[in-house]
Amino acid sequence: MHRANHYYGHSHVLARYCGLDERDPPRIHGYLQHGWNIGDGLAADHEFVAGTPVLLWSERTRRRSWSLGRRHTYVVGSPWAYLLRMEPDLGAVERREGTIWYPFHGWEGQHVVGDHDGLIATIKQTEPGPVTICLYWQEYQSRWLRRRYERAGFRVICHGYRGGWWENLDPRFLYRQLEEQRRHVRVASNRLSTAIFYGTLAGCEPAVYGDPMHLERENSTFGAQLRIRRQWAELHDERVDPVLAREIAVAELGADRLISPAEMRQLFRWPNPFQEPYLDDRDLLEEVIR
Amino acid sequence: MNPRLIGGEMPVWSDLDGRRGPGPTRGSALVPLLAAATGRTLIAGPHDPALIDAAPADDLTLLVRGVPDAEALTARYADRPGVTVCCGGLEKLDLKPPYDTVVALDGLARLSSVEGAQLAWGEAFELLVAALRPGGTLLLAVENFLGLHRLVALPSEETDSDWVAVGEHDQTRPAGLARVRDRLGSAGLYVARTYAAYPAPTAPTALLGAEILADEGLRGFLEATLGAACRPVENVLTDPGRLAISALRHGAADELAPAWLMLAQRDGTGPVQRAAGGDLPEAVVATGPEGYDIRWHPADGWIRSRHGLAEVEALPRGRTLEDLLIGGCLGRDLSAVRELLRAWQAGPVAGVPADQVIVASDGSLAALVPAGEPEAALRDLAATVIGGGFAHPWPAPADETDLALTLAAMAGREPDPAALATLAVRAGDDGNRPDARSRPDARAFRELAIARNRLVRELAEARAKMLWYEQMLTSRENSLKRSQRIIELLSGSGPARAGMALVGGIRVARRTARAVVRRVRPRT
Repeated sequence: MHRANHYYGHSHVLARYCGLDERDPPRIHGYLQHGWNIGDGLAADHEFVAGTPVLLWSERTRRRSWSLGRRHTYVVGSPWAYLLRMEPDLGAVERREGTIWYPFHGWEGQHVVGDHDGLIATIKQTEPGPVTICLYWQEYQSRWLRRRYERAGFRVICHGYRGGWWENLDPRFLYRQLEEQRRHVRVASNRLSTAIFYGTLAGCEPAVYGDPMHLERENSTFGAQLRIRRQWAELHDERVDPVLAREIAVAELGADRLISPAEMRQLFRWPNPFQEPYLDDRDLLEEVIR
Repeated sequence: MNPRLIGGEMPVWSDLDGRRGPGPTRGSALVPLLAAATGRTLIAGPHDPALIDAAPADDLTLLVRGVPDAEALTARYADRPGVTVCCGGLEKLDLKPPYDTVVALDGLARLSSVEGAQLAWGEAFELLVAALRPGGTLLLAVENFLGLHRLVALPSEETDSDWVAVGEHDQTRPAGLARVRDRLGSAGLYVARTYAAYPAPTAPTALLGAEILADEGLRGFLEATLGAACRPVENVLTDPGRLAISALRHGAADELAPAWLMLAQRDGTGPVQRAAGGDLPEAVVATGPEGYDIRWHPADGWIRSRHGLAEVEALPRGRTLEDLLIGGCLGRDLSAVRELLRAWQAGPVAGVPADQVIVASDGSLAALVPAGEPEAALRDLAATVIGGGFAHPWPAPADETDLALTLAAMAGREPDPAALATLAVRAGDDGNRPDARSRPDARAFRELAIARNRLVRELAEARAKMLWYEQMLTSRENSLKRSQRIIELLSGSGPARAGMALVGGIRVARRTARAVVRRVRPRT
């Protein structure tokens, strides 16, 4: 399977949903959409083998994917929506407080260019309560950047690694994100993004405002930022209609189209009959020593 | 000059333009037959004007039923006073004075007008025989309703010209070659020649006499000729070329011919005529750009002469290279196959398709058509082997190009893969492209079924292989993941502390590490 299926512990969450050992998810026979997407559901830079099923989050993305030539497409919904179904109470607090704010992030291949000080001023001006800034791990590693947000009086966190081939896999990523979001009243960002939809589905009031910044060599194949502003204009404001926002988040994350564990096992070709059972650390070491 | 309207003429009808039916009988293969007409001649029914041009025009009567056709013919022959164009039904034609030659190479089905009598086959036949003077010659085409063209045909659309189409149910029409001969005989006609006409009654490209069909030594030549003549031009049930070759093998090529062209003489009391059709060729072939006649020569055997050229050449005797190669494949005689492939690809006929190469008994090769690209010839052979559904010996060739590469290797040739790839693109799935040779599987349902069954099998095999790869991949992943975890647990950073705690301190860990190294390191 494609390594992107492991990003953010997606396959781990779904293995648990299917009743399999979540510590060692089997290969998914398909390409699982790994983020909210305005194209065909696949990341532009990922190699694609013809005939591989494309497992998508939403019906809208499926239609778009089909129109762009993809055929073996199937809507399964987002891992996030499954996690929320399995964890109705994780991170729930008596009283939600403040805003979790996601500055637009780059990724391993492209960095973000923009005026962080200007953004900090906008956030301070807008947010009524305490602010938690959540950085992507790359930006979080920049002590300089972290300090800038901290000096503004914000709490700065990171949900964890996205994960690579087999390295830095982070099965708890989404769990940490859910715990954090359920502590906050609002979720905000300078770009409409996966985290905004996640937060909305987790019960936060969303907001999108401030300098959207830009990526190095930003690709505007699918219309990019301007198209997102046009198509989801109602989500771009300091205050948006929470009911409408929730409706959109449900659709974009496929929370209305989740499939049963049995159907998922069949679709993913799970379990892999050739896979060895996962041993506890102790058992593994004892077996090695023996 | 105006056409003679004899009654029953159809004012807005044309058989010659082909829009309301199959068009006129046509093709250069028929020219020698028309050219053999002598004396006062009647050409009855729609014949391509290019054929009529070949007939002597001193005293020529043309009979058509559509006024536009009659006008077109009148205009065409305006400067030939010997030509009379009659328009109407056959039953209205004045048969006096009788004719020396009557030509009905379109058969008898298109001689009746909508306005007049609907003549049964027997009635039209009797009228034409009656139009002949004693000793006169009849050139008649009879479509074979059990002909190869009908055996492979899908249900056809009815055309405007089928206003009465009794066909096989016409009791007056003889069915089968023997009955046709008998019918002519009982009408007082002596059948001097019979040609089996392929691939279709209206436009035959190969006319083969009974003697040449019976010559076993010409099997290769005849297969090459009928194979080329019968390439499918429309959707069919099965490849007609394959069926024609099978008919030849079984001595049934005359019985299964789409039509028979007969040259017959009416017995008479007049002076004894030169044996009718004595100078007609034994066969006429016009499957390629150059047509030729075939005659028997007492010294040289069968010789062919290209139309318009004086020189002649002997017909090669033997079997086709394709026949021998496929026989070798099916018999698993791969050394013979290699030898044939080597001989073919090493010589000047490398670019000639294998079904157009004749292998003589001494092993020498003769080409019936000019050479093209050797890669194309190899690929065509591969396409025949795969598409024909033969139980060939090669394990799961990916496609025609792949098999062509194998064949080239067996022939000891280094083919140009780029040229093959170009050919593959050119052949594509589109048999309609004029630059691609018709593929036997392009439009034939039997061959489609063969291709479909092969693909189903190949897919099942590919899936089985994928499952095996999956097993192999997972077993490697199992080992890799296990090793990585062990390394992480015992290394100096991160989760190692937990690992060391688990096994009880650093000294134990060192001992463990040594044990691990022994186990993880590949065994020599």
